[in-house]
Amino acid sequence: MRRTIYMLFAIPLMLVGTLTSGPASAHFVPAPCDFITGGGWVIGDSGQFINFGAHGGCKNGAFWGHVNVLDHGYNPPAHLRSTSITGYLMDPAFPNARDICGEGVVDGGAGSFTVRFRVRMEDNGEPGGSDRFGLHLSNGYDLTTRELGPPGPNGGGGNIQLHKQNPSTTGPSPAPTEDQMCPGLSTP
Amino acid sequence: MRSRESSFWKSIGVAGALAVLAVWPGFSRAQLDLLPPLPGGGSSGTQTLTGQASAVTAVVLGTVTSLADSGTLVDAADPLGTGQPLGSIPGLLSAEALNAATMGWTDQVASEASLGNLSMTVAGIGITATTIISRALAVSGGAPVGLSNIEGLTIGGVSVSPTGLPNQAVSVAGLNVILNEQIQSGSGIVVNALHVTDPVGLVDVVAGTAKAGI
Repeated sequence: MRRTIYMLFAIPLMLVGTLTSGPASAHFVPAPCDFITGGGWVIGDSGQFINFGAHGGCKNGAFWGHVNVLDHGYNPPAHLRSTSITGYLMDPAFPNARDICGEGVVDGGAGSFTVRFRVRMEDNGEPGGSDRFGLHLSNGYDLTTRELGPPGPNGGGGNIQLHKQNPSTTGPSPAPTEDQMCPGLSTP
Repeated sequence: MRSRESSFWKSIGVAGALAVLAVWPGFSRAQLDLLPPLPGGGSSGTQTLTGQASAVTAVVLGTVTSLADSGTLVDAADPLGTGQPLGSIPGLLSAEALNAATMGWTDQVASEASLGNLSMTVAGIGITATTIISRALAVSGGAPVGLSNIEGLTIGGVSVSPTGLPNQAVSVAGLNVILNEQIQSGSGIVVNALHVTDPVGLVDVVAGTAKAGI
């Protein structure tokens, strides 16, 4: 009897573990779609300034946004300019964060070339020091997601704002998968 | 005894099922897709929405130049935005990571402009800032709200600390500077994070403009 009861508790728990191990890490397009906006700067791994300005969301059955990032760790500074937005995702593990994926051009540093990018922006309240930003490029560039502030030698500045859902701004239907939106790019 | 045992097994089953549903994101997401739209979205209806954002707007000798201007919002289904990695107005200023966006809902409008590493010279006086952000939010039935973030500001080589209060005036060698300028109207608000005019009125520069009205 005790063994039967144990199995009845254990099976659902095992089932929960099995089901959540995959989907829990999957990122998907928020429905209804919302917006994220922000600008600021972070300190790179070499102590350099990295400025960013970005916004993302959905619009007219597609994804919408712009991403611009400038890394002063290169001479001249390397800057990413988005040319298309291919994805806008939320991560169930970080409900205040959104990832913007797309294609862009990098200029400066090692010349000019096309890349795919994945940006993470996270709004953790005001005034913005706890907000987070990260960037992953298809050429291997990886700025792990980090806090914006406080301003100073160990932190940057700026602010990121996650806006509420807007059912009139729709993304693609059916929503593409994470790999279709951000092929080969994991969360920074 | 049998009846009590049956209830016990039913409770176990229900608890197990609820546990699965509560933590299975795929199920939750599928259900969310089927829910009716939340209030606060949809077409603009009878509300008149106005919104715009611009990273930089400068008037020099009557010539207007804008950098990263979103354009004018007219519909909740049509958010507008733009950005550029570098921007400059020769002889006046340069900036990085310029960004501007304006978005509408049936009941509100939000606009935001931002730029980094601003370097500007007006009437021979240098002005720099690491980050400038302006935000405007107009909500139907409520007072519009404005907000500016100005970090690392120097004017004439002297560090200036924004108070955060609206319309903070700073005067340096005849240069008129307003931080977090907020212009309220019956239907909305204009927020200019950094507004600089020279003593003789030949140069008028705003870094970070956000407008919202409904």
